Amino acid sequence: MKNRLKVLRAERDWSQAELAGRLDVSRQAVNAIETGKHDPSLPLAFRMSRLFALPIEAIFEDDDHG
Amino acid sequence: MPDTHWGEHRAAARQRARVRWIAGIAAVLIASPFALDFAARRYVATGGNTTDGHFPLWLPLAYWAIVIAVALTGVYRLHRASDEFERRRLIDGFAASGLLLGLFVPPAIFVGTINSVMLVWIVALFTGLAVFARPRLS
Repeated sequence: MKNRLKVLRAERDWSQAELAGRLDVSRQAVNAIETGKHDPSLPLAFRMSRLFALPIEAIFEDDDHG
Repeated sequence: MPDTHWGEHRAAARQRARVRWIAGIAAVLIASPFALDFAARRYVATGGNTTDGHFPLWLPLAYWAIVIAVALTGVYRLHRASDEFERRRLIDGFAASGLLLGLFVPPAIFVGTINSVMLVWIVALFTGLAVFARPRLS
């Protein structure tokens, strides 16, 4: 699943650790999500949505509908 | 002045907590055979009963019960302190441990050396911890 996490993070000048702390996950989890190695759970996706004040579909893109 | 890096501090504190649990579980596993050896020697030194050179069953059972209880508690707390990504790694670790136990404990029992069974058990748990704590994606 593709996502815009890295871009959104860069726009706010946040490190992976900063984003991880704000989402209450590990930095490794943020890295794995950014690189597409791990798909976040729905609760975590909603937390990201709230943090960036964006709808989920503005952060994640389903590969099957690309 | 607002702390613009509170997330990094929180992430670092979180990581420190996890490292403490991993180190604690590893320390218990390392210490456990020595503790058993110490307990056995102390049992003999204080005139404990050994039939045909064998210790009474309660000694190894107490060892297993204490170590397993402490290890399970530690793993439970580690699980609680982990996020969804880390929990998947934890499950991967236990899968590796389970595989090792399944492969090596039956032949070790067949060979009949209790020390080898204990060693396999500890190696398996360490493998699980190592899989969980191995270097992550950069």
